Amino acid sequence: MEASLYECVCASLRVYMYRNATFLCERLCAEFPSENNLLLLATCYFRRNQAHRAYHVLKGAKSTQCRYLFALACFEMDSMGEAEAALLSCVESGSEVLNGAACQYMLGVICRLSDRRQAAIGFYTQALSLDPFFWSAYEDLCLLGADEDAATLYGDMAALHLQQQQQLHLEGRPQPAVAPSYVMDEFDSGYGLQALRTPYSSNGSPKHSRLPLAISDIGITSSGLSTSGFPTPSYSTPSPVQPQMSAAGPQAPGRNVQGLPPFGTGSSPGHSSGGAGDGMSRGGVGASGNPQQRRKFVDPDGKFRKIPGRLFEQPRRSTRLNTGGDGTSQQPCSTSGSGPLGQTGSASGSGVVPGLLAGSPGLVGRGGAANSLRMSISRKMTAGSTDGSDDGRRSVESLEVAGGEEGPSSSRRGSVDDDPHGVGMMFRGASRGSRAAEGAMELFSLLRILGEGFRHLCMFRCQEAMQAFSKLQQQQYETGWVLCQVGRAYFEMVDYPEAERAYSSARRVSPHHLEGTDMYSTALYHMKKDVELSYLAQETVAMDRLSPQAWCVMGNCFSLQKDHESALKFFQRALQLDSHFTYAHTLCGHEHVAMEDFEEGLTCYRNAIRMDPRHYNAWYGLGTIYFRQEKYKLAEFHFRRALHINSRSSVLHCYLGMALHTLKKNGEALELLEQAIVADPKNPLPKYQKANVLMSEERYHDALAELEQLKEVAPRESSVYFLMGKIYKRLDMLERAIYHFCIALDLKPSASDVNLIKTAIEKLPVADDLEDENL
Amino acid sequence: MPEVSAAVDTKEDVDKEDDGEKREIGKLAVWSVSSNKPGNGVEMLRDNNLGTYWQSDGAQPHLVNIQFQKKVRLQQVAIYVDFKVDESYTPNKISIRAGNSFHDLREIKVVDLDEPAGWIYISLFPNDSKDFLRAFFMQLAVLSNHQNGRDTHIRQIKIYGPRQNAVIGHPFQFTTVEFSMRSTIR
Repeated sequence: MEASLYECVCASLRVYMYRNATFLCERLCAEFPSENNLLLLATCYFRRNQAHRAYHVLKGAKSTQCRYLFALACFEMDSMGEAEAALLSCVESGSEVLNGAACQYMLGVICRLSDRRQAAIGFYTQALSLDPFFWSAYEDLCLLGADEDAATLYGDMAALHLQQQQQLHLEGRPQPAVAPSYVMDEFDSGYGLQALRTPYSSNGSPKHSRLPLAISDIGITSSGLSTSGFPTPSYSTPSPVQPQMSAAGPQAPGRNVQGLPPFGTGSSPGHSSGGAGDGMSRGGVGASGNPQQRRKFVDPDGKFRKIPGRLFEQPRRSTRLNTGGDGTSQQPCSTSGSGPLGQTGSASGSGVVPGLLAGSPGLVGRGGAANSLRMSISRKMTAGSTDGSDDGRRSVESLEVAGGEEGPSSSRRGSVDDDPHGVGMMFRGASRGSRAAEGAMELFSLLRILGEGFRHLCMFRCQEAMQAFSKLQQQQYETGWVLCQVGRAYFEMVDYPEAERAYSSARRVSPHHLEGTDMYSTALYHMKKDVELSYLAQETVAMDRLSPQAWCVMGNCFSLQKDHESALKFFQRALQLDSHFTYAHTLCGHEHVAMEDFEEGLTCYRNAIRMDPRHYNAWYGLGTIYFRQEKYKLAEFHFRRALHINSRSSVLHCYLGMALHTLKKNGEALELLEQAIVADPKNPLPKYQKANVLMSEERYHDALAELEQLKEVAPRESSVYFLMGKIYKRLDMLERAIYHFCIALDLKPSASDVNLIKTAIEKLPVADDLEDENL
Repeated sequence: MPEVSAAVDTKEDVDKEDDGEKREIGKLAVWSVSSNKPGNGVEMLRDNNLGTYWQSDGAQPHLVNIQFQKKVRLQQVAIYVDFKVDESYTPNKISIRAGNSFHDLREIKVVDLDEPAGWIYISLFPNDSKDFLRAFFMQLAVLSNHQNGRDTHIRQIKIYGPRQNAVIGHPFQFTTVEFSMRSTIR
């Protein structure tokens, strides 16, 4: 009954009927409480977003998969310490780490959230080494500002390396490193991409040197194959082992799990027929790995030394053996239902899960892997004999088996020689293998372009970012994510009209993509386009009331209407939805400042910086508060920090210049203002400020020259005329002064400014010194 | 038709100074009154409810004291009174004084009201000057009521100061979008 219940649960999960699956699984666990089943139950809960239930179910579970899911549940419940502990134990137990890259990634996230930047960078790098297609890790690296690491990881060296590995793989020669293959999850049907993913060693660090795993190739998903998922690969197994594996760090070498841990666990439930026993189901880890390739591992028994030779002599046989081996190392992928099960019948009670092996590259030398290798090796050696099955069974015990696979292995074992189908598969596999290799390279090159663009954007090199994104093909470019990044690039360059264009096309292309809408709303805010902004606010809130970005947009809309209290309320709502949303903290800060609550503003900006130390807006905000409070040294410090992060912003240069001016460092101030002008020639503020500084240095004519230029650029700006009037007054050219003051008045500035101008006019006859006395 | 004295802003003035130009700063101050009937205390002046009112309970002049922690710039005071409802309790003559403390006040303005109904906006610019009034302490004194009533009802008082500039270190607000767009980081 256990097996059929298990299968029912999996079937329900496959069609997303989570309540059904949960109920059935609870019955399963009641009858047969084993870790495997508990894992399945936890998966059901996790899928239903009930992380706390998964947490309670998995508390105390030992197997790595369980601990991984437990860590995820802790993470969801914000219990970082436990999550970290669980993940570390996952990572250390090496032999069964299937979700290596994902584990590293989660550790990185936890470190980042607890402000351990270096550790986080380390983990992310490892995650990417294990799995170069792990985009989230790359993204986080860029956000942390680890420019060089990110660059190398997706750099030319990496590409070459990946390519080499693919080549080697294709040619069946020993590969220096092997990538884990993708995990196919049970939901996939059909071929499924099992791109070969070769982890590539990151520069030199021994820790990262990948194990020479053979890449398993594509995992075939079951459904397609009648022979239940047997891996096609047939490239010859790369031979010799690289003993480095033991040297490799604790992390699992390239696990193929593509960061889909929960799913990974869920998928393989497969049928562990009877004896599945302890351990977790490696489920999902579909790596189809050729066990043979694994074979390269150091085998304590030293058995496999012989194998390579034999295998290599006779390609055909080796292929067959491969297939046989593959049969054993089946991937758990999609469970083909009963078929394999039926076949299993025999010796290997529990299905072997080669899939797990797949993961095993990491297993290097560790128990499980060795065993499995041994198993596969022995299987190969005794193709067709039943001895292997015993070995297999033994080794199987150490590994969990994913359901369906067993069938194939046993069947394979039994009938390797007369299995034309297998051979056929093999050949198909071969071509698939090369296709997979190409696919991997293509994917990698796509990710490289995206990665380059994103990296430049994170370091605020907007021009380069846009160039990088423009290398994309049409269909990739016209997607929500890319267009939002492009919009952001324009935004950071203070080119708001272009940013608006990019963002609106992003909204057209995918109206449900709300990630960039907060920046979009800020661009509209700057351009004072209140109609568009309120429309955007309505749309986003209607689209998804529970997304923090929508409420940020709404807040911006109200802030533009000068209703700062409501705007603050909305930003706080966004924070309730996601307390790690940095931009909402900064916006709260801005609102507090607008309402002159400087203390509150300081707190908000500091919160933002706590979330993300590279959020230069918050540094800028702190600078402005200190400036208003006349703590100019502090203001200078904060503006410098902001500028350090975003060194191309003309506005920041300008503000730093202003701070320096008030600190009487006019020389530096002028330099910075020059830089500001150069950085963005269309920005009138630095020119204005430069004129100000010049005026204070009594270089009136230079100041006037600047203002004349400025008049050309912004002819309707009354403050320009006002300043010119003041300069003329200093120069004692009263008629000109009056002339300019009157123009300033004509341009209809705000009421308080009108008062200023009128006062200035009235005080014209009075010299400046006297004027200062009266004030 | 309620007539207000010239000291009070006309409707146009009020409109010009829209919400973008001023902000309510009453929350920065401590409010007190010279006397009140139990149940109609000073809270009724600040509860944003025009149905509740403060009722004094002593000798004239009745005082509303507004004390700030730091010197603020004051622009306008708004009072809500209604003759139709309050009749003899409605203030007739109001004096506005400002200064540094209770004992150091100077009369800024005297306002005569004649059967007012609704919000009365009183501008606080010292006569003919365009500078803002800057003070620690402001006092609103009700000198006499309609029909010579002894006590007074006031339903709500709001006090406004000018808005801070969005751009620091710059006295002006930018009039053009190109300027303002590039003048801050949000």
